[in-house]
Amino acid sequence: MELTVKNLCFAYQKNHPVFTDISFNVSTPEIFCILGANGAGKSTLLKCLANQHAASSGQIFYDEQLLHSFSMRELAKKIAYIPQTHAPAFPFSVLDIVMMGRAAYLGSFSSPGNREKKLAEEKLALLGIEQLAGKSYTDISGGERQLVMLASALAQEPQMLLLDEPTAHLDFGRQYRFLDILHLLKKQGIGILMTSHFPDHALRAADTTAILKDGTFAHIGPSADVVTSENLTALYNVPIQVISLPEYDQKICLPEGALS
Amino acid sequence: MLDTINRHFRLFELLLFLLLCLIFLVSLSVGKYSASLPKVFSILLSPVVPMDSSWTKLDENIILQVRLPRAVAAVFVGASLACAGAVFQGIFRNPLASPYTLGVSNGAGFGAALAILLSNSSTAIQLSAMLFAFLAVLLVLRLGKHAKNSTVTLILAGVIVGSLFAALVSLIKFMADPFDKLPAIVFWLMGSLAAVNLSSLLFALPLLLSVFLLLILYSWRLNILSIGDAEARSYGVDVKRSRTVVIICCSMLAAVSVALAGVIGWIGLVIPHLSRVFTGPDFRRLLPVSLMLGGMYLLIIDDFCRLIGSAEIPLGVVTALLGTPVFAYFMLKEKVKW
Repeated sequence: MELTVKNLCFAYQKNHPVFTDISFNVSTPEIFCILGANGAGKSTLLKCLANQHAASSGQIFYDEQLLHSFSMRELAKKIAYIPQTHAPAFPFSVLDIVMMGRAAYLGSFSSPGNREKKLAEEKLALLGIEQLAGKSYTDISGGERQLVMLASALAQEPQMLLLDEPTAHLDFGRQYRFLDILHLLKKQGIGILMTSHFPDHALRAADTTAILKDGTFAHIGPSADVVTSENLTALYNVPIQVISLPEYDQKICLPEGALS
Repeated sequence: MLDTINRHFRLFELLLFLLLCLIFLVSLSVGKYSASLPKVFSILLSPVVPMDSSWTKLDENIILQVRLPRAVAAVFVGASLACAGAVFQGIFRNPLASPYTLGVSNGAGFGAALAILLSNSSTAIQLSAMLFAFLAVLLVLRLGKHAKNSTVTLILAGVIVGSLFAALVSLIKFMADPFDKLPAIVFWLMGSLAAVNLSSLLFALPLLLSVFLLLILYSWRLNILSIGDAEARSYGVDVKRSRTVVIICCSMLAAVSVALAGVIGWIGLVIPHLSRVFTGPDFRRLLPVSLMLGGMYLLIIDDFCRLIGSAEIPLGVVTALLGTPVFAYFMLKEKVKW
């Protein structure tokens, strides 16, 4: 599948655009990461792409079909969106939450049965959290909830995932396990568009990285070319070195200088 | 379709239903003029099964003409209020939501007060109450249409429209004849099932039953609407449209209930919480249990109202007086979780 964005603009209030004239392509299977400072408009951009907000101008195509021409059901079978935070009010079981991902495939008056249950259990197992199935969604940790939401999004069997800071609430180990999972999903042909506050994650997992700054993509290209000392220093306003570690075949981002 | 719901729960539902039937029969037998349970049973069956009548014409009249419509109305009004309350609490994700959150009660109160002021016909009062209840909800939906955070805005719009109609009710009370009209208005606002008759039931029951059925069939989608707007949209649910349809359905339940029985508070707020103690948040279980508990509760309350004292005590008063200790018990036992 291919996502094409042309000249996208969005403003909550007139004359105060969050971003202007953003154009890019994502084709599956690809991992595309958007970096940007707090308030740069990463989440807003993702919401526009997920049809949660209507863009002020510009066009969004999925497989050359305009976003607005999709029915909600059709769109839910193509893309799945996971918001940054989720405040559950009711203690549904984790399994129930994951099965909700099947809504687009079930009639308005039907309810999930054994097939949906099996599929949901598969998705939980894929993420290594099958032991959470019977637990109440309100009793698990924020990081576990993030994984449950991913399982639920996968139950939609989408071609592309739109993830808003998916690693934000995960512990250190889970962050990297999560990146591995994204890589696995990519191998299964799923495209991933994510925002992040961790340039390390972009370097490690993303094929393409874009830096959202001052309402537009300041840089976009292969992660290794975009995530550089110079670009990160300009982005975060602190001196940052991107260091190669040849013996690990990896790069890491390091803020310069010790604590003063 | 329902294989994810286990067998124990079905048994629980069945027991609850049998209990409802039992309370219904007892309600027909008790009163100032009491009739034994077997007698009630045979009178009820006599139109269907031919049998020798061992009862007087008076027995038959009291059971079939007076108590039966009233008991049926109690079950349906209680069920409607509990059901609408459960759904509103879910889709607004707010434990304080009730069937009256969107201004139905104040709208209906104004409609009824206006009709009482202008005429004496009970049909006029019921129709006017329903009409203004709907007007209030439409106003609320219109106000909340372009809101960004629409659940909170809808509740706020409900408060605003509700206050408008409450002020209008006060105005009518102020202008009404203090010896004749004013007591009628005040008594109506406190709720009573005494005015229920067969013709209003024949109008109300098909409407209420079809909304019950619709909501029960839609209950899994209600689950999705209750977890969050962004999530539901991502799952492919047209949140705004579904929510509007559900709100209109539930307002219909509330409006018909208020038109039949006046403003009965408490049931729509608390029975859903009580039901969740047994069922959890899943609407596929919560709705049937809320319907039955709500029906049972109002039946029992109405029996109390008929039995205690020489004049009937208003329903709205007793629902709260009797219900609060029950709910407080469950709260103290930490069974009520939100």
